Amino acid sequence: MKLHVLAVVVALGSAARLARADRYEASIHVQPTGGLAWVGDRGASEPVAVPSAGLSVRATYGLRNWLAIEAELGGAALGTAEFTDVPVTIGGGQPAVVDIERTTRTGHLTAAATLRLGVAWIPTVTVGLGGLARWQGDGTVVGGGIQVDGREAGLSADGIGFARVGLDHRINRRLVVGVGVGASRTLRSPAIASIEGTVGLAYYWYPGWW
Amino acid sequence: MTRRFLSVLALVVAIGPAGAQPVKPAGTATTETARGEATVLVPPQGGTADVPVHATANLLLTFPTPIAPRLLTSGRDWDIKEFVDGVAVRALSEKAAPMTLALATKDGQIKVNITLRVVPPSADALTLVRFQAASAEDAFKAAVEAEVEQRTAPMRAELARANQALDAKVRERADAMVARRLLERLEETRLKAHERNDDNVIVHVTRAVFLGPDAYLFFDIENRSGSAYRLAKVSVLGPRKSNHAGPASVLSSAIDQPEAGVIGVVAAGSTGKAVVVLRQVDAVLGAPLALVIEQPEGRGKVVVDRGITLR
Repeated sequence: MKLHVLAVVVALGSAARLARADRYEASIHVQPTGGLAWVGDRGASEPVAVPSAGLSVRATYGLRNWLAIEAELGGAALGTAEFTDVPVTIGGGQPAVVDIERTTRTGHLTAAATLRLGVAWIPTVTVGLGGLARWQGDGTVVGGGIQVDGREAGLSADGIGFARVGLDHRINRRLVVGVGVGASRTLRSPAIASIEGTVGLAYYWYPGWW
Repeated sequence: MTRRFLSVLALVVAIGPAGAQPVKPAGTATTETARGEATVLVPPQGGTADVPVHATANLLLTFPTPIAPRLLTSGRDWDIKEFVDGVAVRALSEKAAPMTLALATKDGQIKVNITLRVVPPSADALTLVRFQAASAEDAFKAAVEAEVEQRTAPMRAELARANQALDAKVRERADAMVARRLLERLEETRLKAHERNDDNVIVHVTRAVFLGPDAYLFFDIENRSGSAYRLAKVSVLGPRKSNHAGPASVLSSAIDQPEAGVIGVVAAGSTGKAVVVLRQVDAVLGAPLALVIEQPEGRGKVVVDRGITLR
C-alpha cells in the first residue's frame, strides 16, 4: 500500500515538473454537478443515499504553471431522504418510531488548491475546504405528511472538505472544457457525504490585477 | 601570403617564346596549389618561368610527358638530376648564381626556359613546380587572372583595412551614443502583461528600460506548443495602430539557427528572452501599447494589448 502511495506521489511530482500551464492566468468555470449524496439525520440508524444535482461557479488563479488556487460557490438540491424507524414525538405526545422524510438543499463556498498537470490536455487534482450551508425541510412522517417534533425546517452551517480529480481540455486561448469526479463530506454529524460528477466550461484570461 | 607570392610569380614568370619580345600575358601562368608548390601553364609556343629556391632545398620540376635528354644549363653552382619526366635541382650554396635551365618534352608539347635563383630563408620559395601544356587561350586566361589578382590585391587589402576601421568606428560611435543616453535617462519600469495564442505560446512582458530618448521593451516567449516558435516580426502598436517598434532580438536555447527573415527561434517547451526597441518613446508615453509578435506569414500571432503603458 505504501508503495502505491509512493508511486502516485512520484507520478504527480513528475507530471508537475513537466507541466507548463497557466501561471498568471485566471479563469471562471461554470459546472453543473450530479451524483449521489448520503444524508444522515438525528436518530436515523444510517445515512440515506439520495440523488443530487447542482450548479457551481469556480474562479481560479495560476500561482505557478502547475498550481492554481481557486474559490468555488455552488448549490445543490438533494432528493428527499426517507429515514426508517426513527424515534420521534409528534405534537408533544408519546415517543413513537416512524419513518420520516426530509428534503435538503445545500450551498457551499470553498477554497482549494489544484494541481494542473498538462498543457492542452490538463489532468487536475484538487483538494479544498470550506463552509456549507444546509437548508432542511420539515421532517414529516412518510405518507402522512405529519410534522414530527424537533425537525422543523431550518438553516444550519457546517464545514466541508472535498477532493476532486478531473481532465480539462483547452479548446483555444480562452475556452477550456472539463470533466471531473469528486467526493465531499461535511465535518459535523449528521454528515452529508457525496460523490459527484461534473462537467464544466471555463473562460481563461490574464487579469490586469495581481 | 602564398596567393600574393604566386601572383608576383605570375608576373615574374616571363611570357612568350624564348628570345622573343615580351608579349601580353598570353603565355606562361601559374596557379596556386599548396604552399611551396605551383603549377605553370605553358602555351604551345613555349614559355619561361622564374623560380625562387631556398639554398640546400631540393626543387622538383615535373612534366606530364618524358623530357628530352639533353638539358641546357647556364651555371655550375647547382646540382641537377634528370628523371624521365622531371628534374631535381638543388643549389650548392646560398651564393649560387642564378641559373637558367632550358628543356623540352620529347613530344614537344612543352618548351620552357626556367630561371632558378636562390632567395633568403625569409622569402617564399618553391619546392615543387608542375609544368602543364595549355592552349594559348587557357594560358592567356590564367595569366589575366593572375594579373588581375595581383593588381587588385592591394585594393582588397585596403578595403579590408577600411572595413576594419569602419567596424571600429561604428563600435566607437555606438559606445559613445550609449554612454550619452545613459547620462540622459536610465530608468526601469516593471510590467506584468501576459497573453497567449491558441497554440499555447505565451508572451510575458516583464519590463521596460528607458535609455535616452528610446525605450527597450523586454518580454519572454514561453513556448508550450509542440513545435519551435520562429519569431519573424515584432510590432509595438500605439493607440492609432502606428508601429513604434525598432529592431528586436531574441535570446534562447534553441539549436536551430534562424533563417533569413527570422529574428530568433524558441524551441518547443522552452522560454526565450526577447527585447524590442521603442524609438522616440516620448511620443507614446501614457498611451496603452500593444505588443504583437508573429511567425513568418503571420502565423502564431500573439497580441498583448493590456498592461503595457509606459510613463
